[in-house]
Amino acid sequence: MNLRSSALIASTLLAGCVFTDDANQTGGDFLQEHGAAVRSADSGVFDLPVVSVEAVPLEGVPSMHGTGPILLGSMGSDSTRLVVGFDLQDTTRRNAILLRGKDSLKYLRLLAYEATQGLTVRARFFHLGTARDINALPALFAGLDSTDLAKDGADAVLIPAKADSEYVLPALATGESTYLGMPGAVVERLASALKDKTGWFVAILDTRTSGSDAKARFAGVTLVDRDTASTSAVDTAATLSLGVYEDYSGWRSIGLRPKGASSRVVGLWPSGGSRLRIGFDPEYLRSQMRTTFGVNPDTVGGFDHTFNILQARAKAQFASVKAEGTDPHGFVIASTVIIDSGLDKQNAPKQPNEKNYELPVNISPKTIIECGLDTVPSIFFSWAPGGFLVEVKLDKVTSSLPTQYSLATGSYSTQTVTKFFLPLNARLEFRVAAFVRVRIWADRNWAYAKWWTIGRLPVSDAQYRDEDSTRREAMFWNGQLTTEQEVRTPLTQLLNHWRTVEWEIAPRTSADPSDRFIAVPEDTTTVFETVRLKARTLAGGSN
Amino acid sequence: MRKVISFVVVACAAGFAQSPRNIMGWGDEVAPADAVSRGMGEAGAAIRSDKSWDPRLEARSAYNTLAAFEVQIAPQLVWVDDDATSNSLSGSRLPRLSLSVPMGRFGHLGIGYWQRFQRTFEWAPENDSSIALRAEGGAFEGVLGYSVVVPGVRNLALGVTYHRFLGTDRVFQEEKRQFPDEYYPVVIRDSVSNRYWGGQASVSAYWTKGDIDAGFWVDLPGEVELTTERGATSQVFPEPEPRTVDAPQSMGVSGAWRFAPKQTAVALLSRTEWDPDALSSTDGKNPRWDVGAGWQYAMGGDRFDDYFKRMTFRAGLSGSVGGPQSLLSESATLGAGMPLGSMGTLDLSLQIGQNEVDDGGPKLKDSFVRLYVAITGASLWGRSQRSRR
Repeated sequence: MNLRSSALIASTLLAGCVFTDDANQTGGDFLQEHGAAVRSADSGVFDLPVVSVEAVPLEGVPSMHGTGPILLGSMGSDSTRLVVGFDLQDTTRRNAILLRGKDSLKYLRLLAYEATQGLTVRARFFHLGTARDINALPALFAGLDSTDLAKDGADAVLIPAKADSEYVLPALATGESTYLGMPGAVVERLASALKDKTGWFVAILDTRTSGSDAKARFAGVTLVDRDTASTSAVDTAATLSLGVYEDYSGWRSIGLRPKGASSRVVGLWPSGGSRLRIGFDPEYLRSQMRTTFGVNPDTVGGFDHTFNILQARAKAQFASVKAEGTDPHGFVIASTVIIDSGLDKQNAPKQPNEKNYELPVNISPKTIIECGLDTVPSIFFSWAPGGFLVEVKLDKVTSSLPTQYSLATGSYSTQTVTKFFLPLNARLEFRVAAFVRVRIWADRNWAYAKWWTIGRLPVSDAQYRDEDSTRREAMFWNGQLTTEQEVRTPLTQLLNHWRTVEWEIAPRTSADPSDRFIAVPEDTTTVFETVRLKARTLAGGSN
Repeated sequence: MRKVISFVVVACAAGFAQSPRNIMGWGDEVAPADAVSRGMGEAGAAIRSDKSWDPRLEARSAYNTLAAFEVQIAPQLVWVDDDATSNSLSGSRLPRLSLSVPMGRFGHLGIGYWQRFQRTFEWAPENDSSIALRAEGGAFEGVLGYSVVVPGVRNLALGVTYHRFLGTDRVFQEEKRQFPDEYYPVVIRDSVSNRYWGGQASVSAYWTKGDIDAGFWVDLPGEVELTTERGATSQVFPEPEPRTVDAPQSMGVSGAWRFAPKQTAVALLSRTEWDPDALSSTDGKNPRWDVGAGWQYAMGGDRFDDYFKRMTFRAGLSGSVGGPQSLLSESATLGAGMPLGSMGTLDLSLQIGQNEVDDGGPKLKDSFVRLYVAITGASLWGRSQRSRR
């Protein structure tokens, strides 16, 4: 081998020489001196003061009328109302009745979906005879009472004075039916309306069994005539099915809280539910941490990056927990980082037939692009008894926005339209995009839209103990009234300058949509007894 | 065979393990010395050559006659010592690639890549696997130079060079915390990254006559857009705003004297000044002075002689003191140049030295042994085979 080849090979071997070193452990003090973080920072435990609790409806509950379980019952002092509506103008069904010569419908027939408990119910019957009366149908589906509508000028809603009747529903086996015989005045009015082919016939059923946890779930509700002379007591052929309103079957179950009951509950009930939004005092926490750690604030670019919150544990004591179903119940806690917010308002329609008012949600052009929208979302308000009919229109977004008060959703080309009935002064929250939250409310003078852009999606903290099981402390077991939630979502941003972090506590959903869950905090002003943080100083950047 | 070897050599440069000293300034600064100069205390910028190119002293290359492509890699061993502990590290550098193209009476064009700053290092505390510190990347330069012999003055050439700064570095800390009451550990990451983008021009002059060569260069004021971005787990940071800082500005002189038919002595002195705004810490000494001196013995054989008689031997000393932060460096070099093919060369330069931080803070000393392996392929472009002979 000549010298040239030897040199080449030697250089190659030398170039490729590898010495197996462990990671370098020398120079830690030097690195620390030059701004690198080489030591684990001390941790501390802090109490986080809760300063506000706000109850907000569950976001995006897919509870349009005519969907979900048909329920009636009570749970403690809460109750579930059932509203059913029959379209008397539906000539197809009515003709079917008339062809058989039996247009006398005297019974409300309830077909059991599953074995039900006995219930005492109060039934009220209405005939919505005119077009204006029919406008009140969404309000009734939303759980409003006829007295609320009367106050709002919808006095044309028929309220038969003697039609308020009480019934005892027997316990039923699956597939069995029970029949509510309607008062004579109601039957007469119904027969007359059937002949005239006018309006809607509505029955509202409420339980009288306050304090019990009885519940009945039905597979269907119909108006029937019945051969009472027959020993088998069979239905006659004449049957009127539930009407169709805005493309959905005309019934709805609504969870109602009694007047005077705290709204600050975490709950899940038919057609809705409630979550709690918690506010904190970051300034207090920040000063507490600075005192404890004795560090100078790191405020690069106007943000405070001095501390890192590693986890939080929130302990809540509940006065009562009502839960159904076999799944263990609990909460999910999600932290939401608010980036920006704004409030828009517009005149509200004050009377029937007044023009629609458009209320644009003026999110920034940057947000519009990030949402994939073409333009700002628009909300249209039109008058309705007891509230407003609302349409939310989104361009270039294909997902629908079902909410607690949804009537219908639909798409027109690239535009999605969602229709709501919004009760007067009720607040409704929904998303127009993954990170844009909108709250709307209106009185008879003004309609409002408050929007928030959210920096981090509120992914809830899974309360895992290990890979497959949930932390037992986070759930309700056998009447236990205390939970301890673990929070590891971006609470640190509570300390970053001008970022608001909210906790939202929502009930875990159950596999059975008819399961109800209501947890009433012992102290409804704070919800959590203690919120304890493990925090440390941020490691600090290098160089 | 040579292609295979070259590939292996370059591939070996992929491994990194460097000193924590690289956290200082913009990282560890690598001298741009060419293959010949490496063995002479990195002081041979002015030695006349037929194919060498130095991104600082472009003017010298106006006298080049061969088109040359040069690759340098530098495997190294570093012993890091902080008084309490010491550690050995191994790794490689790829300091530069360059293409030198003589264009006869139209002058000379040089183009090159210079890995000027290196941030790379890894660090972990002793007996604690929960924390790790890692740095990577660096700012490098793309360099384009042009030089020409001044018409009518055959001994003088002038050159101009444009340096494009670009690159990204990042220092990344990761800490894993496991609380006894939690199944999943909390992993906290914290990083600082810098993006560099800017330009700077330099001018150079080179004078050669008889046994004496001398060169001078100066960097003109230039600007670098420096974008520093911070990131940390669960933290929100403002949008990074680039800031404009002055590019590090150097000037220097270099000389070479062929005091014997086969022997040449070289020397170099340069000064580099930093914009204090370009550094996160300004407590170091500024400017930095670099000095070097070297010697070369060329056996002088032609292509028909034995291989040994065609080799060149070199030695040198170099040192620097000053910024970007207080650094004191000394090194000694030994080198050998070996013909590779009819015109190419393989230059090996062994550098032994140390760097010491002299800022009054915790001590850190690197002692290193570095082998620069430079392969230069050269050719006579634009001439027929016949005319080459």
